[in-house]
Amino acid sequence: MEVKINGNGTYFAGIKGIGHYVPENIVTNDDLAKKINTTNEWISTKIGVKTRRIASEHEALSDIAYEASKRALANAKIKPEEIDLIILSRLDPDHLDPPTSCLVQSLLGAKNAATFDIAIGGCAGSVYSLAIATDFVKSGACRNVLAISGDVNSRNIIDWSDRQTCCFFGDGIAATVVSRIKEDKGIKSYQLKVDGSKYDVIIMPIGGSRTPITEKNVNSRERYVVMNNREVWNFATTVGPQIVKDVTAIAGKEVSELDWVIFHQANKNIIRNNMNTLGLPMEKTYTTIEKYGNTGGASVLLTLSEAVETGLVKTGDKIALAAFGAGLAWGGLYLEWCAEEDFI
Amino acid sequence: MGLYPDVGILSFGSYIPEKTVSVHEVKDRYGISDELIERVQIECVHVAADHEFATDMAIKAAKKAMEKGKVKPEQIDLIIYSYISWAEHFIWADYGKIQHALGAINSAAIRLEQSCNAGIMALEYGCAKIQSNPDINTVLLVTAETWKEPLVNRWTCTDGCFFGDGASAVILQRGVKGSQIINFCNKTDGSLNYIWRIPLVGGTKHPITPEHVEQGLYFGSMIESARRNLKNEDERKEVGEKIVSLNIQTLKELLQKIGKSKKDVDKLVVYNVGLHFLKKIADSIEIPLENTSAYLAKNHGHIGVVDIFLNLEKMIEDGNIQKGDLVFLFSGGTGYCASSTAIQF
Repeated sequence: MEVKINGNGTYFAGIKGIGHYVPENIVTNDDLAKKINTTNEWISTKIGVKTRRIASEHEALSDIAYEASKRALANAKIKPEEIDLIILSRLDPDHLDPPTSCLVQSLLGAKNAATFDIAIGGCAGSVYSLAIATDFVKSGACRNVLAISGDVNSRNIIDWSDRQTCCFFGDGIAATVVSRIKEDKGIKSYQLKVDGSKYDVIIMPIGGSRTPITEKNVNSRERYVVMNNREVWNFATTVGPQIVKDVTAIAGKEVSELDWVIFHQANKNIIRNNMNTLGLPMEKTYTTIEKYGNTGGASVLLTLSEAVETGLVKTGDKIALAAFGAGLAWGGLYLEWCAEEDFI
Repeated sequence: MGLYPDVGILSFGSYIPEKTVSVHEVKDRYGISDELIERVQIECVHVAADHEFATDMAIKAAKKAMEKGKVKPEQIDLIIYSYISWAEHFIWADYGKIQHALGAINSAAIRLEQSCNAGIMALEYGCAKIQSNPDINTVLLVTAETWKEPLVNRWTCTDGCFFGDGASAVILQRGVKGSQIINFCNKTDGSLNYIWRIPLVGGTKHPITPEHVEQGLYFGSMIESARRNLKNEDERKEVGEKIVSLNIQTLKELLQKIGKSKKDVDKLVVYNVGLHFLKKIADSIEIPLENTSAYLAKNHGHIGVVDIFLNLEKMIEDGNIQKGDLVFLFSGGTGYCASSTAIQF
């Protein structure tokens, strides 16, 4: 079989399989309104979330990552032994050490896979993990890379008494198998960006070595994530549309040619704003924020996965992904959806 | 020619805190046995000031690497930051802080975690990034560790070494000759993840509670984790054999990948675990201990992820790596994972 490579001696890469997992337990806005000062109307209007999924007590990050990974492998029709590398993008691991990707490798039985975790502020994780997986495939180092992104946000990250955070987030995770393809299709371009001047816009003040947890501060709200929502809104509505334009242009395409634009599911109004800025109708995006809330690093790939699962995404569709979050970090990726026969 | 023909190491940088503490100063306070001191052969470690944290040291090491390589901040395309000791904050953009402090305004940045192997893993990602993207030319890898009490006791948390503080950095660049990174072999046996779980509580598996804090369970101890998770001496022996086997397999497969034999390896750069363990690694590829970085462990201790780049830099500075040398880098880490790479100087 002939395998084409780029002029610079690299391979082509595409998404061979995709899957996602959300926990069964559903929490509605009315459920939240019973505990904190909020209403279903405020959350639905201001954020666009109607329900979110919350992990059960026995579900740690590795457990939900395993479920999403199994689905991605099934979708790719490959065995765990065929995976060369597992990349897990996350905020809150099973343990501080070892990397949670090791636990996922063991659960999957992916005995030939090396592993590592990445941290990129959570929300940009989908695009970052996919881009890194792409680099490992394109370079020739790996044939199949499993890129996983997501978190159990509800357990240690969210302050359930703070409506500025708890109304937004839900638990969920997505996984993709990135593999070699025969010719120049699939993942055509990406960009990863960071503005480190705002590195503390999203932060968990207590718990690390700078301010360890003690008996005095263990019940403090600063054990959870503190987020500057206004700063995040301004950032997301600026970089979101721009990164879509950039990666689409790098791939030699026009924004008007895009079949799908999938944004990070931070806020339905941000998505509307960004689609409007791009001059694209809402029909060209797919959203899951209504059902699952902001699933952080999972959201872009989880949303793409559901769009694929429901049959909306067709072979050859031109898709732009855009994610943004703490760091401040953002990333965009342009791909064309491949058929099974495109892969080597 | 290798997997990454276009990529080489441009420069190194490191930062080691001035303050040193010898094991003999603290042996009585922490009940450290003479047998352990004799076995690991680490005499002293460097210790960061109370106000000095990993990112502070990482920035200093990175700046030195940039200065040595004559790299302007705007030239950097990607920063990969790694540590294993303890997060300064569990959620924050430490990689963003480093990018900002360096003024690397055109750079993406991430944190990569792979226990003590993160350095070699980051090295491979840096190579893959440059190799796969014609417009990416310069990648900064930076590592740093501080072991702060009461979260971790650098002297007693393991019986395999003593931990030191410090930071190291490497700049990879397209087109650099003289240090060609030929290939890598990275392996994970995730079935061994349960041996060392740090800390004893915390994370999504066992969320920390006020009771945990009250009971003093929120700390990192490899010894205590192994004591709780390994049932008996037979199991201890069995996992030990699996770890040694994975290490050997990692080095063997690297040799196969690059088409070389053990006798072709001139120098071995290893992480600074105890001498007893380093001997086993050196024996596995039949290289004399004097051709390894083992001598550097004595006055630095194990600086987690930092060791590999620091030791490589020191061996070059000391004249122990010369032009023409085929150099292997090797580290192992919790998970259990082992990583190796071959560099032709």
